[in-house]
Formats: sequence, C-alpha cells, structure tokens
Amino acid sequence: MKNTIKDIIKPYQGEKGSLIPILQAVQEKTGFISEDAVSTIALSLNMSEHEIYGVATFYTQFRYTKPGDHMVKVCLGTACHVRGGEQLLNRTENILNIKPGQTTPDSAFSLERVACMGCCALAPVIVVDDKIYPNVTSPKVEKIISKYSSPDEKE
Amino acid sequence: MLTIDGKEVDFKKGATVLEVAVDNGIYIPTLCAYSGLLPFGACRLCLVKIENMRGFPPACTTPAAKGMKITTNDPELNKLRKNVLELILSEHPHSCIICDQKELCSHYHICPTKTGHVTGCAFCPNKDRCELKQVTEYLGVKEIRFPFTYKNLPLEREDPFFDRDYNLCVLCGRCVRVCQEIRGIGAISLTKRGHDTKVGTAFGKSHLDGGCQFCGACVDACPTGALSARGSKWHGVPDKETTTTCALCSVGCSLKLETKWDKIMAVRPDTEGPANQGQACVRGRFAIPALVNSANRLKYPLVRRNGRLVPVTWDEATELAAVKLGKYLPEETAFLASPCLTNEAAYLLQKFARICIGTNNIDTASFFSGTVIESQIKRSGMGAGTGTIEDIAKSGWIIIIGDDLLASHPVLTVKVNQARKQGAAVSLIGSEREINSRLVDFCISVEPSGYFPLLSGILKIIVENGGFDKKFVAGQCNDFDKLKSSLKKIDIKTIAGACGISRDLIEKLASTIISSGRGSILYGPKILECDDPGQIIDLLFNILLLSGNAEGLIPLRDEANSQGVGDMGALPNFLPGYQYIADKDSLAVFENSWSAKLPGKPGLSYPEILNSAVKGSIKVLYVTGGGIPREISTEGLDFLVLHDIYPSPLFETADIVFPAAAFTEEEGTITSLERRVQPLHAGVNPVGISMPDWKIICKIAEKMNAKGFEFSNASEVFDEICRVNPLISGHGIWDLKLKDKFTLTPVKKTARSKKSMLYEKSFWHYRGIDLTEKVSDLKILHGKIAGG
Repeated sequence: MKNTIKDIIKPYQGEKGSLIPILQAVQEKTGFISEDAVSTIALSLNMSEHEIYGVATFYTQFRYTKPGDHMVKVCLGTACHVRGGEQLLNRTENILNIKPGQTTPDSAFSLERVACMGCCALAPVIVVDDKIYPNVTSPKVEKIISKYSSPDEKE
Repeated sequence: MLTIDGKEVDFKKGATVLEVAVDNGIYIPTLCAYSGLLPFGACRLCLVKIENMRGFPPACTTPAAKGMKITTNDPELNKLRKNVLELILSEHPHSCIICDQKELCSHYHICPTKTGHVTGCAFCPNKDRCELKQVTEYLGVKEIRFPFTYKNLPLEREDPFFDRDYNLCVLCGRCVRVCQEIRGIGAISLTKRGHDTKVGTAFGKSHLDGGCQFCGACVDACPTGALSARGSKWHGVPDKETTTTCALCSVGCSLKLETKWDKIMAVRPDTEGPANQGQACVRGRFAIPALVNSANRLKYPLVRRNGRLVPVTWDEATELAAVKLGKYLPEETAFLASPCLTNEAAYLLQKFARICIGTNNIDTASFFSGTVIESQIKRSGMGAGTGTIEDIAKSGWIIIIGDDLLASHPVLTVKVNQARKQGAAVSLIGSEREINSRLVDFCISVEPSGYFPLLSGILKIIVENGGFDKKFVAGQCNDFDKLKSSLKKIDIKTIAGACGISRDLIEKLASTIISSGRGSILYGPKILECDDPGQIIDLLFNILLLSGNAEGLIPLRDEANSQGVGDMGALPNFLPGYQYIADKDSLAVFENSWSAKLPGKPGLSYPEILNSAVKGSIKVLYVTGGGIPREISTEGLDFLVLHDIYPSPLFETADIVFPAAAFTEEEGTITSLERRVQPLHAGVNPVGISMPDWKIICKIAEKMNAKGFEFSNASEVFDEICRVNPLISGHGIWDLKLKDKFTLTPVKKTARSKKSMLYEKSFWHYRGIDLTEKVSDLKILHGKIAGG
C-alpha cells in the first residue's frame, strides 16, 4: 500500500501545488484516502497531515473509508428533489442501513447523495455503479438494490 | 501618503489598510487579524470604504496605496458590520454578550460551575477577555435577529494542558495560522467546509498523536473561550501581572505571571519579549504554576539532628553553617553553583567561596558548561557563543547539531522557521523524530560518534571547492594553510561510510553553506558524547569562519543561567568576567575592589569536585540546587549544605538544607544563551520563610563576620556586579568585543578521551528537579516525545 502511494507521488515530487492531483490519483488507485496515504503524502510534500486532511475534506469528491463493491448514488438535484429524491434517499438508507458517505459492514454497498447527474428529464434517478435508473419510486429501490446483492445474501 | 478618515498620513510600503489605521490610532473592529500572521480576511468585520474602489474591501487584506481615500467609520459601514457580527453571534452562545443586565453581573457574581459546556452567561472561561464582546460593544449590537444555532459539538478534553470547546469557535483561523505560520508545526487545520467547518486534526486524531507540542500559541491567539488552559480557565482576571524571565531553559523568554491570592495561576508569553515576541513553550506556558505552587515545596530551614532533618529558624541554621564552614581547610571545601542561580546569587556565591572560605573550588554544576566554556574562551576570548537569537532569524543557512531543538528550546524553532521562510537552508544533525523532518531541509541522522567525520568532511569540501569567503579568510583568519593541509588525508568516501550517509548529502550540505551567505550554528549537549567535544566546536567555528562570519555560533545550553553563572565567575579558574585567576593583575584588581585577600591557585572543576568528594579529599560540599549525577556517593563527606526548593535525593545525606525561593518569587537577573542579561521580577512572595539564594549566602557571610555582603536587595548586588565585572553594564546583550583576527584550527585525529562520568541527559529540568515529576500532564507529553 505504502509503495503504491509512493509510486503515485513520484511524478509530482517537489512540485508546489500538486496536493490535489496527488489526492485524486490516490483515490483513483486505491478507492479512498487512507490515514496511511495522508501521512505518506505529508512526509513527501513536507506538509503536516492535518493540513492535507483540511484541504481534502474541503472537497466532497474525496472519501476516507474503503468503498463498497457497488456505489449507490441518489440524486438530490433540483429536479430529483422536486420529484421525491428525498424519499428515495430515506428508503435507500433504510434498506442498506447506512447513512450517505458510509459503507455497509459487508463492504457490498456504499451510499452517496449527489447533486444532479445531468439527466433531469428522467428524475428522480438512482445511479448504481455506472448504470442510471430513471423514474424511480420507493418500491423500486428495493428491487434495484437486490439486483446487486450477492446470491447467498438473498437467501 | 494617503487619506484615512480625512487625515493625511504616511505609510510603510507593503502595509495593509488595517495596519495603517492601527499605526494612526484608528480602531477598526476585527477578529481574524493577528499580529505576526498573514492577512486572512475571514471575519469580514473590518470592511471599509475606499474611494474609487468597488464595494467594501476588507481593511486587513487590502494593501495601502498612494492617494487612497479611506473611510473607516460611517453609518453604512457600521450597519454592514453589525449584520456580519449578528451572523457570527448566531452561532456563538451570546447570552453573556447581548444582555441588558450585564453591568450588574459583577454584583451578583455567581460561582461558575465546572460543567463542560458553555451555554449560559457565567460559564465561559474567557468571559473576562472576550474579543467578541469588545467588538459587540464597539458596534453597539443589542439584539440578534437570527435564530441561534448551538453546534452541539462534544467538548474535547482528552489532551493535556488545554480544553477545546468548538461550540464557541468563530472560525477566525488564528489558532490554525499561528500553529502553521509562526510555529511551523501545523498540528491543527480547518477541516470540512460550510456549516461543518471545524478546527480539527486529520481523521480526528488527538492532539498528542497529531504532533502538537502544546506550546499554547493557539490558546493565546483564540479570541473566544473555545481554547482555554485547563489549570487556569476558571480563575478569571488576575489580581496582578508581573513580567519576568523564564528560568526553565536558556532562551530567556519574557513571561507574564498572572497572580491571584499570592499564587501564580497562569503564565502568558510577553509580546514585547526580545527573545520570544509573544511565543512560549509548554514549560513556560503551562508548567510553572504546578511547579511552584506545590505543597511539597521547602518552607523552613532544616538541620540534621540525631539522623533526622528538623525545621529550625534561619538564625540557627545559618549560625551552624557558619561555624561548620569555618572549621575546615579551604582546600577541603567546594561549592557547586547551580546553573539556575541568578547572576546575583552566583556572584555572591563565588565571592563567598573566595573571600570567606578562601578557595577557588567552585564550578557550575553542569558538564556541558565546563567543556563549552573552555572551547569558547579559546575561540572568542569569552565563555560565550558568538551569536544572538536575532541572528538565527536572519541566517541564510542554519546547522542544528546535537540537540532536539523542538523539545529542548522550542521557542528557537520559531526563529529557525522564520529564517527558513526567507529561504534559509536548515540542516539538523542528530535527531530522528519524524516531526523534525518537516521543520528542516536536511535531516541527517548521525550518532554523536559520527559528528567528527561528518563535519570534517563538510570542511574538506568547502576548502577544496574554494567557494568559501576568500576575502574574509585572507583578511581575518590565520592558519588557513595549516587547516588545508590537515584536511588532505581525509577521504570523503570513508567518511560517508563511517556516518552511514551518502556522499551526495555531504556535498549538498557543503554547497548550501557556501552559497547561502551568513549562517548560524546551534550546538547542543549531545556533542559531549563525542570523543573530543572541544574539537567539534573547533570544526563548527571553522565552518562559520569559512562562510565569512564569526558571529552566529550559539550553544544550546540546557539550564537557564548557565551563561550568567559563568560570567559571574562561579568557575574554578576564572574571576568575574572571565579574568584568569592565574593572572596576577586581574587578581589584584579584585583584591582591591573586594578589599580582601584572594586565593591565587585555580580550584577543582565540577568532575574533579565530585571525584574528590567520593575519595574524601573534599570534606565539605556546598550545593546550591541542581542535582548531581546519581552514581556519585556523598556519604564520604563530613558536611553537606544544600539550597533547594524541593526535597531532593541529596536530602538523605544533607546536614543543612536552606529553602530557596523559586525564580517566580525573587528579584534578580539571569543571562540567556545569547548573552542577554534580563530581569527576574517576583510575582508572588517566597513560600513559607524561604529566601532567595543570594540572601541566604549573605546571611551566612554575616554570621562569619565577613565584609562585603551587606546588601538589602538584589539590585544593590547587581550594581556591584556592574562595577566589578567588565562585561556587565546593565540589562541587555553584553558586548563580546570580538578580536579582528581568528584562528582556523587544523583538524587532527584524536584519541578517544577518557570520560570520567557520562553526561546525564537533562531534559526539562529546573534546579535538578525533573519537571515531569511535578507536572503530570508534562509527563504524558514527555512520554510521547521520548517514545517517538
């Protein structure tokens, strides 16, 4: 793990203002920003880990826990919000038993709330991994989730 | 020239509008601006109007420019500021700030409870010095139109020394910036954003785990009660504030002692302090009250009777001391001057030893001082370093060798940080702590045995590459050729192998020294673990000279007044002002001014005194605080006199113990590592019937009918010091009077010198007391630092 992060940092070494590209690259490679990653970046950029954490947490794009196998995004953009996105989110939270930004204990799902996927005509939408589900209603949420649950869990 | 509120004023280039206003006595309300920090523009309270500028620019981030016409105060601005303040207050518990009955508060002062959360009006630890309150009063905000939101964050109390209640935080960012910009640590940062913004650490770690040094700079910077020192948060306004000098290390920080009911309740750094400029460290900021207020302090003179120490009066104790000290031969008596004594006490102690006893067996009780003073006298003629703290900040390069600066002299890291911001290359030779690597450019982990090869390697590269300051070397240095030829045999490759570092790194170090102009070298007590500490100092001085400068060599002495105790002549071979005892003329001068006969034979040094005490040739030992190495047995002594502020291990054998006043309880002066003589002022009275050291010595001298000890206060003693000691003429840095010519010392292979005793690691001590034993929170921090 440490070595992967070191490899990611290498091209940016000594460059001022390279923190965000590094964080993005780390997230892309490892899926999230770990404590280890932050301290490794801190050492090589000569910054304090707190400063790095402060920068990272300013942006919503970074996550600090290992993501699940499937990413469930519930849209709460204007159109989806008007058409009941809030209820979809509540329903999803109840089914998965986690809050947005968290991952289920079995690492199967992560939940995120997003603001507009750019397909407002289909509102309200839920996006699982890269697939968009249009015109979702509360009962449909369960069906969508169950598609991604592993077979032994279903029984 | 610009116009501010109709007044035409001049301004310094680069100043902000806020600074111009402050310089001209115009108040602009602000919360986030803080002296020494870069403009931030977070609170939006300092909005002003500037002609021909759009909108309302904040005064703190707008650079002053020629011809500006600035309005700082009119109804429109005040309305804007009021709105901003109301928004700030809508998230800060404000019942104590906005209350039409608040003038009556002091009449019906209720006892503040120690509940954690601040919600009601009497429960804020900062209610007496709240900046938010000042701003509110200035703007005249009487009510808040917005609903109040309590953030409901948990109180953070799990770290030592200070509590954090971020429900009171207004997000001015002063704590974060002071930690980052001034201290260079960055132990906290603003995390998340929008409503969730909070000052915090990475992944919510504790401060202890996050590398916080607990210097308290954030607590001092906080305008609200969000950060508060745990020991003093409920004490309110002090009865009295006394500015004094810290005696817990040799930096010489100026501190304000806040006292109530004749007890020290809190200590804050003095912004006017020449060495610290408003900064302090964990010891100065937090450890002093617990250290001096303890119930275990010695309060009465003690005398051994039937094997037990029993309290007696001063008369009885001093009488006994006078009789006993008079009984023995001068060469059987020895004095150990604690490096924590004031200049006055050290001066009188050596005068007492020389006049009343007739011995030169007196030395500063520190191995570091002995070696260092010898080499320094060889180099500069005086037992002092050649640099000042201000030199550090102005350096182009800095070498720190043989000390963990961040733990031993934390306030100096502020200066190192300052230099580094201006482009100085900082190299640390010695410590491996991870946090250090962020504060320096080159972190070279080498054991003390590797100092000699490493430094001689650097020297060789500097000499052979020829990039040194040739003009300075030709004009002001002798023996360059001798140095050059002595370096011939040195092989960089072997050296790199011997210290376990790469040849590249040595070359990089050498080239930064050559190319960065004036530098400073800070050396610490770890050099004593080298084969020949004196030669290490020689090498360092050579490097400094080759860079074209003799000033900048700074000894990181461990104890507060190591410098002054030496200056005062508490040394076996020197009279005050480093005048050789062996020199008949200077001896005659002192015999004349003290009107007494003085012994002309140099006395025993500190290690020799300790050895003779074991062997039995020294029968009487007079110890003025400060521990002596544990392995030394004092049982062979006939008589042991002790000055101390706490019971110490020497208690088992001491025959008389005099209770001394701590540095917070006495007047006097101490001299810092930069030769700065600074005053001590008593914040409180000495505990019990204890007395300042100088007074104890005078009392014994009086009983021995000696002349020249009739002083009624410390300033009379200081006057005499100024008269007889050519170095000292008052407060401030004493002049080193450097010679015009310096000698470069050739490098020679040294045989391993025999070490009689190992240097005892002194880490956070005062008068031989381990501070971590008296201050429990310090122990936690110490464990963290020592454990990595």
